[in-house]
Amino acid sequence: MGALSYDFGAPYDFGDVAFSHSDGVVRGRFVGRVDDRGAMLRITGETTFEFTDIFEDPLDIGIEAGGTPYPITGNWTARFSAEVMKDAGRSEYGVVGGR
Amino acid sequence: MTYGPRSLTGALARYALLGLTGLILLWAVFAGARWATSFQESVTLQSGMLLSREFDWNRHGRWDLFATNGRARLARDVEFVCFNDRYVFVQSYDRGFTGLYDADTDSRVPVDYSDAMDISGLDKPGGGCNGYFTGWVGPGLLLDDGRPPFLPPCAWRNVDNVALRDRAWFERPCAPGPWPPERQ
Repeated sequence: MGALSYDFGAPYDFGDVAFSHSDGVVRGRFVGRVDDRGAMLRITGETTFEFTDIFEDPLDIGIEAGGTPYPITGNWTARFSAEVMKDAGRSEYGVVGGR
Repeated sequence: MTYGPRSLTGALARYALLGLTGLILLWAVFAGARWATSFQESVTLQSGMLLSREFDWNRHGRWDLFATNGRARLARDVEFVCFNDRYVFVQSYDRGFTGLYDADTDSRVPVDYSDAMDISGLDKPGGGCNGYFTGWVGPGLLLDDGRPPFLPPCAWRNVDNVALRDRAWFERPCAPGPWPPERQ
């Protein structure tokens, strides 16, 4: 119980957004807290996200066919609030190693 | 011959079409080769376990965890890892594979998250990871030849954890700059 903070980052495929996108990187930090609510835990906090990508190699052949690559960046925040079972076995979401 | 000019036009059109087809085929060969090689990417962790990018029709490739022999698949669809010289905790898109994996036994350790982080030494008080990085990192940021932006922040290198044996790991490419990202 108490304060909770962690960093995360991974590449994600944004091809579903537009075909010209490929992988971009989303990194961020969650800062929040966990409070005891009997059989439940209440998790609240805010995540700061950072998106980074480079527009390059539009022909996808490993060389620049004219033009200059340029970075694409952005960041945003999102609030988070959830109540979860303390006993992970009682939650359809919480079972670790439960295949 | 009254059809000379039309023949010339036709011939030019045929050559243009042939050239265009050739260009498209050439592009397909290069792009296909790059696409195919993207599924040969892998990262060997200090423990000997292997993260490898695998072909997947439904996703733009996926990352799987393999045992120290490089062949036995332990976990699929890895999103984040936290790892040290023996263990790796995997966060998988498929929750059934989320858990702690031990290189000494090449298997998953059947404990919950809290116990897993305790026994592995990966626990960082207040959250985060106490392995080679302090953050939860996607395998795609761990490649030997990683280029920006596909790198973990330099600020995540857990140099303060003296129990980590592979100090050369901290010399790998990383993304300089301030961390965490500033709020807007």
